[in-house]
Amino acid sequence: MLGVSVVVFVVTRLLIDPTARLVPIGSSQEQYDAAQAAHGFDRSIPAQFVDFMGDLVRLDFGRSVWLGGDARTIVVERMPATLVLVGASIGLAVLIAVPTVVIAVLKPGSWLDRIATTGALFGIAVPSFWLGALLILLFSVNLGWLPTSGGGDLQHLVLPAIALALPSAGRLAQVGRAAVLEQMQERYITAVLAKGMSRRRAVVFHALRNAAAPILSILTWEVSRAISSGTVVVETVFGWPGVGQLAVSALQRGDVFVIQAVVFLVAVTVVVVNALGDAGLQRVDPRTRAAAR
Amino acid sequence: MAALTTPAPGGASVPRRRRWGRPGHRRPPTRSAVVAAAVLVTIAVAAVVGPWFVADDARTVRLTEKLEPPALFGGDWSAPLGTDGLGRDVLARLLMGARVSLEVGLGTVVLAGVVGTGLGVLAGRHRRWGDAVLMRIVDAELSFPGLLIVLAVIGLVGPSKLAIILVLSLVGWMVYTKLARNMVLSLQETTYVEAAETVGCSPRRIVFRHLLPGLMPAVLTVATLEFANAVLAESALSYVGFGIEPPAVSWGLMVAEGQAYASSAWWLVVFPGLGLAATVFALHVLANWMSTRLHPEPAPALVEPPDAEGRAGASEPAPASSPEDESAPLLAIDGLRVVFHTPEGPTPAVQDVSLTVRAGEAVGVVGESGSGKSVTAMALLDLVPPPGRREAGTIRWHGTALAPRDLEGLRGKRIAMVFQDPVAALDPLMTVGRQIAEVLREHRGLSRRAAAERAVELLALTGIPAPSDRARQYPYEFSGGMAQRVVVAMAIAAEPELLIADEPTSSLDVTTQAQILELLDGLRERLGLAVLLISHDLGVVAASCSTVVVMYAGRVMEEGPVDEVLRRPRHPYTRRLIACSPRLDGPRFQFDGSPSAVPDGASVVAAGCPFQPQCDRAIDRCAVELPPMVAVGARSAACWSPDG
Repeated sequence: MLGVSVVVFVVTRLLIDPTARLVPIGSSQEQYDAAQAAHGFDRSIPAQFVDFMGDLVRLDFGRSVWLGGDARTIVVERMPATLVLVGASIGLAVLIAVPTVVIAVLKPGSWLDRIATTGALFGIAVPSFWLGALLILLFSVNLGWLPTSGGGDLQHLVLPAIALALPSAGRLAQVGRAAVLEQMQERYITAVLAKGMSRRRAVVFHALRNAAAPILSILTWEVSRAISSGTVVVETVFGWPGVGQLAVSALQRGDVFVIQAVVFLVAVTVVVVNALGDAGLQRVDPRTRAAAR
Repeated sequence: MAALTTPAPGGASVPRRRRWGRPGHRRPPTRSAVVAAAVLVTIAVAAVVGPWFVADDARTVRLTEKLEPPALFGGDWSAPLGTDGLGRDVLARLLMGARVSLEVGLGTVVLAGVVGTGLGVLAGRHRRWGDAVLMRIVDAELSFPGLLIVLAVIGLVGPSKLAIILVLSLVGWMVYTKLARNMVLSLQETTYVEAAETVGCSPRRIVFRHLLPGLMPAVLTVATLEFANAVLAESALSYVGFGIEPPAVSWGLMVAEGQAYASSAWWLVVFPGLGLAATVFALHVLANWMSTRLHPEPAPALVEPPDAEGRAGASEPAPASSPEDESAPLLAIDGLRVVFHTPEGPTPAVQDVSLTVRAGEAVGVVGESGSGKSVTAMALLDLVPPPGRREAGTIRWHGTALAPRDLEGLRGKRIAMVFQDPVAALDPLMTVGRQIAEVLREHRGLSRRAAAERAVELLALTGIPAPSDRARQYPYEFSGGMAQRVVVAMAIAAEPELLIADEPTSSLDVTTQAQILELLDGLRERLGLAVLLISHDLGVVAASCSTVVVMYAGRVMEEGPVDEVLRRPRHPYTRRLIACSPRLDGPRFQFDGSPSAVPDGASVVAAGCPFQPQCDRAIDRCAVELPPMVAVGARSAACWSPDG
């Protein structure tokens, strides 16, 4: 968090001249000086940093130059759309990844396994903006089944969710396969097989559950990644009205205060997601569960 | 990583250079790795050389020739992949874009890799000095995967190729630091680095001659993946409009520009994306192969035999499936051979093993670890772990020879198994009651409720106090002895005819051992179970079995009624084994000789008796000819020069 704050401060206050981004083009020197004084940009760097950190702690990011309103409110209003998109795509990714892992692990080295692992790798390799562009080309332009861009309803959600889900599904499947295969080497799996359970049952009811910890960690990471990276691109491709799209348009307009609000609030969200993931991790194993009680 | 911490063979000898992991474990490139490398080299060469030839084509606007389709889709060969909305050649622009991807990828990887690895080595070498602080920063940064932050910085500062490289390096160095630091910490403890320090090598020499070569393979693997990430990040930034800007060319930018014409000119969107996907895909394939080189032990599951049906056990024609023969023994193994196909070549673990178990009988198999007794047991359930394979021999159940697939059907139902380490044999995330109920539901077809009730009864039967409470507990809440009772309850749940007990008491303390053996004995009598007891401990076998089979180096040395074999062993190896066992009548744990080391696979293959090099009764013939099992009365032994 502190790291993010320092980076934002250095970039917005030191690397660029923030005042120049605030005043209209063609303003006079007096207007410039007035704006600089009003925002305290004429003070010493340490003093500015103290102000900046104080504002962050109070979640006061300043007013949007471009939209006029409070930067925090603008970002918070966009949050639900992004979270809906992330939720849908992660759900979809899990729905794709888990059966892929099971198929791959049932017969390691078989052609089904090879298709599954290659497919996962393909998901990782395909850039999501390109995938999005292809989806639009196929389903919106050529087939006309779904709208190209915009947001709000289920129809608009389908394509961006897919574009965001496939890379996540690929990574989940890759990590999941390795984790489940590792469990398959364990003694208790031999015991389950010796009990006469099918390999399928051993995979689904035993190995998969025991691989939940590494899978859950990577899942948490995927959610963070989707919020702070994936949505920026995918929301731009599909015009989905979330935080990512806001960030890109704020950057286009040089709206410094909105940008710092986006970066900071997304960082807060990621911290919350990581904490939730850790809490979930605790619940998987009966040992840590008992310790928590 | 573990592989790299292994001391060099020969202990303190200092290898001059270690470029690629352990010598002797070089793995030939897989076909996919070769293809991936070829694709990458092609792209790299095209990216370096291409722009010299096509820079003009990529820039020249020819409005008369705009949106020409690719050659194979109705266009002509002057622009093989078509032209864009301004009539510029798509192929030429792809090559220009490849150059940009290469530059950004290489720049980022070199900058972040060198700085990150350097910091990591420093942190690992000088632990007091800022290590903790540095690692805190690394962990904090690693938990925030942010294209958003990269975008914000570049968007505000102003996009350029250099800015992209700098910012991507700024968020990418920690991966290398963490890796390098952890590896340096473990490498420094290896014998050869310690030896170098003792000899008095200068710190600089240690870092550059010993540590860095050891780090290189892992760092290069990470760098390959980071290269892919940098290429993807650059294209995403350029696509969104804050990366490479026109008139420069980038694959991401090409997709963005092409989207305006998406409905009429699909090729503008498709080709640059294909370039990206192929590059990233190939980089990942290469990195995967590199990381398998780092961990030379093959994941056993992946070395599955090419054709599972081709196993010899199945290929031998099963006699016309006769109804179960009343007079035939419960289980008869004949000529069993199990071979492990390791990277060093096939190693036989079990050779020509034959043994018989009658209904209700307790048979003991004794031998040192490595004698093949556990592998024999696993072969009975067709559960030999890969890369092991049953290659010969028949297994008859009630007189009927069974293929591996048929053995699978007996698992748990008619042949059950008890393991050495009971806690490890239980699924840690499932209550023990459910694990027992699972067997009952599968083999007895009981309802969920009935199975749960029966599970409690079984726990009571094996002597677990408060069984209904215990059924709801997890394995970690059980002591070793109690957990073994659970495993036994699980094994007898489906009322099998044969119970294989593989070192069932070895991990338990002496008092518990006796209780478990008593339990097994009682169950055998009460339920009419036959027991195949595998143990390294002659005392255990003597106490509970009527017949004993002595194994050494994958072969049966001697077998017969327990009393006779133990009282008057015919095979010198059996005699040695008895001599090594603690005596009940003498002072405890008095050894009069150590059991011989089990020879490794190579010497087993040689002709002659495997025990011959250690044998005090060996004659010339022992070294050249393998002794067959010769029966004398109820017992038999494989020896040219038997006792008595």
